[in-house]
Order: sequence, then structure tokens, then C-alpha cells
Amino acid sequence: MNPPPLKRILLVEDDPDIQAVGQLALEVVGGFEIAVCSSGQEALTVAPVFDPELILLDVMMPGLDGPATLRQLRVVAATEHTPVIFLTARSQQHEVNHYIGLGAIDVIAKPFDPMALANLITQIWTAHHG
Amino acid sequence: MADRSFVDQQLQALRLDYLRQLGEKLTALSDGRLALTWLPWEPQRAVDLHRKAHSLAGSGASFGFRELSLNAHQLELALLPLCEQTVMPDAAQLALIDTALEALFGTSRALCVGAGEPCCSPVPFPLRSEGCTKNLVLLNEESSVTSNLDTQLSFFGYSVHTASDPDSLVALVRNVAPVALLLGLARLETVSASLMPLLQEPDRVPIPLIFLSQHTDLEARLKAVRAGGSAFIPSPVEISELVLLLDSLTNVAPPEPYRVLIMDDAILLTRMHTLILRGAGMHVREVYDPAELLPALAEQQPDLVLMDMYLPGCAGHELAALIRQQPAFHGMPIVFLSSETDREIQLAAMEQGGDDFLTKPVSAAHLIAAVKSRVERARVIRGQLNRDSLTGLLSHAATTEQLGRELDRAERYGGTLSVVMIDVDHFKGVNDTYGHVAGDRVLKSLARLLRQQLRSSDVVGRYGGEEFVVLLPQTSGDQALRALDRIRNQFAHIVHYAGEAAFSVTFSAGVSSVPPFGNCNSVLEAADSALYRAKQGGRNCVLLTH
Repeated sequence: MNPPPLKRILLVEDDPDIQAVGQLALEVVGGFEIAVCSSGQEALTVAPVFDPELILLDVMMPGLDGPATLRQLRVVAATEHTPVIFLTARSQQHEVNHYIGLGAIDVIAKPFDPMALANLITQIWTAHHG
Repeated sequence: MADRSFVDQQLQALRLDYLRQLGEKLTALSDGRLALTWLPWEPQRAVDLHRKAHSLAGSGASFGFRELSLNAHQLELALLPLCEQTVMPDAAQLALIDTALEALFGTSRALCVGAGEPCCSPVPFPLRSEGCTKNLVLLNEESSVTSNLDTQLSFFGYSVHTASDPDSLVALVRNVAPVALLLGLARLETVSASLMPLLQEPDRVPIPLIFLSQHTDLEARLKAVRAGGSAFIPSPVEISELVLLLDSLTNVAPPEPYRVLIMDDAILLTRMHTLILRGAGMHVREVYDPAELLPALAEQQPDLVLMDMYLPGCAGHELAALIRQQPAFHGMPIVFLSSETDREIQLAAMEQGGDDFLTKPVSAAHLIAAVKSRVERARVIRGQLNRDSLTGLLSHAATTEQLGRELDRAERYGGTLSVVMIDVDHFKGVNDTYGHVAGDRVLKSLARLLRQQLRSSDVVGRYGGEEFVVLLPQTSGDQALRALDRIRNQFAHIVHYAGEAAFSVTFSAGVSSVPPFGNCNSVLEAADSALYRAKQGGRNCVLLTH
């Protein structure tokens, strides 16, 4: 059975460099329609309007960090079930399990390869719906 | 997906942007690191620094700069324990941070050079004192004669480890491997049994022993001599005297680094010679193409030229003759470096204007020794014109000349040149109250402190009686302000002595930059008016021109 189409991705990331290279990786390479938020707070207002199929969420951000943002997203009807992938520099297995335990479908390590990111996300998306 | 070449183009553009912004990020890291130790401790500073390092680590490799990510990750790891710490980081923690930071700077510099991006990575101000902190071990007399000696010595690159009692002295000496031992004369009897054999151990390089004593009579001095002391410093300790003594005992590089120009088309060998000479504290400029020689000479104004005998298009001795034609370089020491073993040819080359001939391969020690002795002699001769005899800094005329050169360089390569004008506060009063000898020592200690705390690319000159000028290439006004303010603070904490009288001295300074100013006169005037405001504002401060 084919997984549902993945068209819109919301990138929540405070580092402008990673925003730039992430945009390249997702929009230009991956062909996705994307929106970028610089903070967890911004994501809470943008997500319900943009209505992404997937949210890419940075863990370490000032203010509302990744996990806190995820908790808040789950409380809002529009984003209660939206799949989330954490972006994190920490990628030891027990840490990955921890983030998944928080409610993410997977974890992607930083720094990521911009040429491979879109593929990786597609694989995760397929596996999640398999 | 968009076609591959478009993607590559976009990625390339992003990479260049990233590199261009790297300089600023590294400056912020460098400033943050400095603030860790010379401001009162706040773990939040470590947290901020950690976040910056984390950001670099998490992005570098995405732009293709894998090494950068790795270096930044090391820095992150080194900073992590400090984020929760309530006490200031210790030397070991700082060493880890500094090593990671230096690696990061090295990698980024290499990246920028590789990408043809000029001046993207600033030269950091000394995180540790030039050439690694030199350790000293101190065992003092009962009545303390040191009064913050360790703090003041640290400004000059010497790290003091104090032994609490004679028993721990030997262990401390073994652990710390000091470059010199400071010993209160009154303590001599208590330690001589254990200490002397240690100092005379056959395998060891002898450690100079410096005696401190309140008694300066003949008997005390004889005692010091008989005990094998290298020097005798009366207390209260006059810091500039002690520093100069330590410098001479520990072969510290002279106040102005030697500048050497190497003219050789053999790239690998030249790089090796460069590394050898840099390791000895010299500033080296490499020229591979004879066409570049004269402009490079004019710009670097080296103390000595190291030249290969055989070069593309012309012979070394022909170039030497060419150099000597110019009145400015008539006395320039030129040393030939060649595998030529034919004595006749060597002699002919010398006749044409060479001063010496070194046969390749030349050992590191030989190279350094040959260069040093030639440069020292040449400097003594030139010294009358170029150097201030008291402080060893550039003279007024030489400083102005150098400013002209730095301005040209800034114009040609871009970047900001900052100029600082320093004036010692109430100097006339110091001379009147404590005497001219004391006044001279104050000036010497300021000169030494400036040299210690600035980079070898910075230019320091004695502009007037109590006036100094500092030129900081590739440095913004803000960076210069911060660096000079830290030095101002250190200088204010130095305790000078004139006999028994203790006193401190401060300075005021004004900072200006090119751009926005565009010529020698205007930038100096601007620095001067900022200096004037600093004086009017109460002195002991550094102000930026507005």
C-alpha cells in the first residue's frame, strides 16, 4: 500500500545557516513545499495555518525547545497527530529512543547531508506508514 | 527535483556565504573565550559560547566543511562541563577549550585560503601567552614580599606556582618543569639539602635560580652567589626588572619579532624553513617568483632576506645586487641558501652582495642561529634610526612610516586597520615623585606588556615621551577597543616600586580605524581626539572615536 503523499513540510530551526541549507535540501532537491519557523513559538502559530504533513523540529532552540514545542503542538487540534521528526546533534541510540519516546516518528542527526536529506525523509515517511 | 547543476550552483553560493560569515562567528567565539577568564565568572557565558560552538558543529558539514564541524564539536565538548559550574574554569579546562578553538581557527583559515576568500578569519588575540605560558615556581620568605606577584607576572606570560613549604617544593619543581625558580633567600637553608641535588641532576637542563630578598647588603648577595643563584632581585619586587630578567634567562623572543623574507622557488623546502623560523618566533614571508620580490620587500620591510642561489630567470646574486641598488635596502642582510657546494661559486655570490652562505640541507638550529645573529647585528646598526633605545619599540619616525605601509596594505587587501593612541596618565607626576629611573621602568613595563598581549602582526611604537601608538591590522575598532581595554586593566594592576614606595600607573587611549578614515593624518587625529576625550572623562579608560 502506498503511503499518503508528502507535500508540505514545516521546518522549525533557529539557526539561519541550517534554515538556508535545509531549504535547499527540501525545496530545491526534494521538491517539497516548505515553510520555515525560527522558534517553537512561531511554529505554534504557523503550523495550523500552513497545515504541513510533516514537521521537522530542531531539539535545541532558545525559548521553547524541541520537546516543549512538540508537547504544545499535541495540545492543538490541527497538529495533534502531525508526524514530527526531531533534528538533533545528539544521536546515540539511547538518545534516539528518548526522542522517539517523546512522540517523534524518528530522529535526524545534524549536521545532515543536504543532498541526502530529502531521500532520508521520504524513507522515514514510507516506513512510518508501512 | 530541480536539475543537478542548478542545485550545485545554489549549494556553492550557500557555501561561499557561510565562509564569508565565518570570520565574524570566530571573532564572537574568541571574544567569548576571553570573557570567560577576564570578567567575573558567570556560567551563562559558557552556555552562550557552547551554543555558538554547537551551532557551528551542527552546520559546518552540511556545507561541506566536515573538519569545521569536528573542531566545533570538540569545542562544544570542552565547554559543556562549564555550563553548570559555579567556579571559574581551571587551567586544564581552559587548555582543552583553547586547543579546540585554535584548531577551529586553523581549519577555517585553511578553508578561506582554499576558497580564495581573503581575510575571512581574524587572527585571534593571545588566548594563552605567546609561546605557551612559562612556569615559575616560588617559595617565598615568611613575610610576604610578593603582593600579587603571580597576577602581575601572568600579564607577561609567566605562570607562578607557589610552594607552600620547603617539602612540597621539590615535588612542585618536578611536576611543573619551571623555566626558573624564585626563592626567598631566607628560605635557602631549609631547602638546600633537597633542592640542590635536584637542580644539579645530570640529565636536567639547569633551572635558573633567582633569589628574592629584603636585604640587599653584601652578605646577602654573597650568600646568593655561593648558592649558585643566577640573579638577585631585591624586594619589594620591581615587576619590569623581574620580567626583563626572566625574559633574558628564558630566551624569550625580543620585543619586535624578526621579519624574514624567503626568496626561493622550491615550495616544500621553503615551507619547511618557514615553519622552522616561525617556531623560533619570527615572522616569515615567502616569495616564489622573482617578479614579486621588490613589492614584497617594500611591504614587509624584512630584517633579513634568505635567498636561493638559483631562481627562474635570474641568479640569486643578481637579485641580491638588485636589492642593494635601492638605498633603503643597501644594508639589508642577505643570506644565500643553496645546495651549491662549490666554494668558488659561493665566494663569488658573497662578493655580489650576500652576507652569508648556507648549504642545503641546513639544520633547524643552524638556520635559526645564522638568521638571529645577522638580524641582531643589523638591528643594532639600524637601531639608531628605527628603534627607541629605552623600550625597544619603533621610534616615532618608524611608527609613522609603518602606519603608511599598513594603510596601503589595508587599501590593497581590504579589511579594517585600527589605530590606538596611548598616553600614560600623570606621567610627569611619576617622574617628579619617584624619579626618572622609576619613570623609565614604568615605560619599559608598559612596552613589554603591550608586546605580550598583542599579536605579532600588531605594530607597537613609542610615539613620544609617554605616548605610544599601536597599529592593529585586520581588526575592527570594537575589537581593538576590547583588546586595549583589557591591557589597560592589567597595566592598572601592576605595582611598581621606587625603593620602598609602591605605586600604580594607568593610561588613557583613543581608538580610530581605517575605514572610515582614509589617511595617516586623519586617522591619527581621530585617535588623538578620542584620547583627549578619555583624559577629559577622567583618565584610565579607552575610548573609540565617534
